[in-house]
Amino acid sequence: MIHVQGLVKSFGALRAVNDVSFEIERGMTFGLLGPNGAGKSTTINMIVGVLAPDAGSINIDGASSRIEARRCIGVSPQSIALYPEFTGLENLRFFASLYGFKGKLLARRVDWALEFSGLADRARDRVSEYSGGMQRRLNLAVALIHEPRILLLDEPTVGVDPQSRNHLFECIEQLRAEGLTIIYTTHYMEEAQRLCDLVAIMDNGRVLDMDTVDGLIQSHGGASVIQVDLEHPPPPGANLPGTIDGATLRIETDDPVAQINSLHDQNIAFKTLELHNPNLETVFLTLTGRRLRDE
Amino acid sequence: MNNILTMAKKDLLLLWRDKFGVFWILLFPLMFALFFGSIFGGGNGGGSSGMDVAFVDLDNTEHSRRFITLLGEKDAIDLEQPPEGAPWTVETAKEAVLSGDAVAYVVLPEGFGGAGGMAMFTGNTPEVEVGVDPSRTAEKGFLEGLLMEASFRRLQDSFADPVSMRPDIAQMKQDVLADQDMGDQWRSTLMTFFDSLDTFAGMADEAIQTEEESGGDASEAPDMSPIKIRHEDVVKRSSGPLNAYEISFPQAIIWGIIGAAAGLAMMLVQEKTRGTWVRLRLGPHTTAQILASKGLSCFAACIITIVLLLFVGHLVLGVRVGSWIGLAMAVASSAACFTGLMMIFATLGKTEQAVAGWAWGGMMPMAMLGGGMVPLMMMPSWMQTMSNISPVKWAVYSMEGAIWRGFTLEKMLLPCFILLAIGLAGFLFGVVVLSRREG
Ligand SMILES: Nc1ncnc2c1ncn2[C@@H]1O[C@H](COP(=O)(O)OP(=O)(O)OP(=O)(O)O)[C@@H](O)[C@H]1O
Ligand SMILES: [Mg+2]
Repeated sequence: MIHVQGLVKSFGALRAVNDVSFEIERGMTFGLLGPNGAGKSTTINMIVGVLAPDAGSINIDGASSRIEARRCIGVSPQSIALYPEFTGLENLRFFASLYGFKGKLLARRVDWALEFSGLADRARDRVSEYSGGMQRRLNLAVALIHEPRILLLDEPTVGVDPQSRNHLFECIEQLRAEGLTIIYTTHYMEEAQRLCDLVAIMDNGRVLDMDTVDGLIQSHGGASVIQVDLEHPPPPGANLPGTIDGATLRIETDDPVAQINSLHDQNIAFKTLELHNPNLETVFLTLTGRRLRDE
Repeated sequence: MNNILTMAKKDLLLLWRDKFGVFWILLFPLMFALFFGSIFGGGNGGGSSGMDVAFVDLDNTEHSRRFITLLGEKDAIDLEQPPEGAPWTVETAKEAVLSGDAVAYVVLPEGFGGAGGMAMFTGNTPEVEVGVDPSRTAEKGFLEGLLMEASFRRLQDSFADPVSMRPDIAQMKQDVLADQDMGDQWRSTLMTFFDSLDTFAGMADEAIQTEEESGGDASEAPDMSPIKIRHEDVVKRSSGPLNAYEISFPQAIIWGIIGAAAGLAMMLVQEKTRGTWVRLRLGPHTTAQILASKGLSCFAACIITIVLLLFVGHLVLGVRVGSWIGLAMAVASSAACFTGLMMIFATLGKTEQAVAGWAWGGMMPMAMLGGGMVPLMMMPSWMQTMSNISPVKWAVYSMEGAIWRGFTLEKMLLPCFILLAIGLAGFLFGVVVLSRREG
């Protein structure tokens, strides 16, 4: 459906996107996961055609011309791209009419979008009076107003409280179920893990690896870690797995359940037991030596 | 095409929603026009209520001077002072009317004061020349009426001052006797009349004092007008502003359309900083079409601004429209010019503040130089020449041309052409630069 081959984009001396390639099948949700400045937005902007790549090519199936391609793409930009002086209704109407919707058809699309974003009762308020989460939802609804087959979401959850974020996830899951092809950029690994079929890990303009979430974890996540705070420091020479530091036992294992069972069988008393399964965060740490976000 | 209209409509609505912008585009200019229009005298030609008349006194006698002073005391007439202190000559007075400094000139011929205003009885009725623009029929009729009235007054004054009349009567009796062409019948009638007049002058001053109060009895002698009036049509080169609003409105319009152009240039950049530009770019139209919509919205905003301001000026404050077609040309080409300027402003900065700074900072001196502050007609001539480099000058000039300068359509062509050329060049420059930035 979307073929991206060897994309390069520089801003002066800075190579924001460096030889990025990927292929996305119809109906797939593709995640671009990377820290600030990785080059995610730059990649998105090249795909939609508002930035011209220095090198590389982008092919979108079933679009003979650029204008045709734009008709089948909807974009929810990273910044809120709405007219704050207009009401939600006016924003939706304006963008819908750009795509040639008129009369009843236009009204139907606008109604759908208001319903979808849960803003029907605030439709006649100015966007400047909306909360951050409401603006995000409208930003997404505008992207969908012309019924695109491909949806590009650039960090759609930035600055949104957990409840609104959940609402947004549900919206996106609904779209996914309807068969839209989605490209989703984020620096929240939970989002990528929850929503994406395929994830590309991006840093410094490069795609470091690309696979399903499970695949990535398998190749780069390493072992699970069990950390146990023991009741009593073990006697010297006790036969315990892993490494011991005072009363803290740390076990790296591929089969954490078996390890916990074995601790139980040995009647070892502990205050707390923590199990850390590898996740995309671990994957990123392994790939770059850094965390996704500086907490 | 539909999308161009949709986007332009959206821009106009956004502009309207920006109350601060509306203030600069409509309210401030209106205040400007009212303020400067009223402090420079508002209606009726710069502070005085009378019409300016240049009196050429070729007679230069006690009588003629009194005649002029008498007329000058009327509210309806202001004595236009001759330039550089020299008395008016027929040539300088005519020039004053041609250039619009005076509404009319009046020539009192040599011998005007002779015979104390009674020269008509001897067939030597003085011929007064009145030069006025043929289009100003009301002023012409009014002025002639006043001249007639004053000459009858003069005649009456002579009756009121019988002692001073007696030498004149003696002089006239001599004239009548000396006139070979005069019929005997008429000669003897006049001699009888002068004799009885002389007697009357010697004894009847009390009675005539009261006669003066009733005024204008003499007008019952239609064939005996004390003066003859000869018309001279003087077609003005330019008609000059009739009231100060005719100056202040074109100026105010300039501020309004600077506001509109600056506001829309800011909005264009704002689309980029807000990210709505990306959405527009994603729509099913070309970048050139988006830019065309920007041009269209600016053009429309300028037209609306000008029309609204002129509407108030014309209907409420008596701003004339010399030529409707000329005005339409001036309005359209001024709007086109500022549309081009808007596109240039939009290329000058990447933030709203930068664009606003460039737009206002660049237009302020252009407006001052071009007659947006000091009216063009009040500028010294070197400055008028220098103002040619300012687009504002041509906008003001074209509107003034259609309002009071009495430009023919042919004369409108030059300023309109310059405005259109600036507009087109600016627009093309903006389109090229802005599309190139899209990479
Ligand atoms: N228009 C531009 N001019 C100059 N540099 C740019 C421009 N756009 C992006 N960059 C730079 O390119 C790099 C990649 O930026 P990009 O916006 O693609 O990152 P991102 O992955 O979307 O980051 P974030 O998560 O913060 O949105 C950054 O270093 C950024 O500073
Ligand atoms: Mg980004």
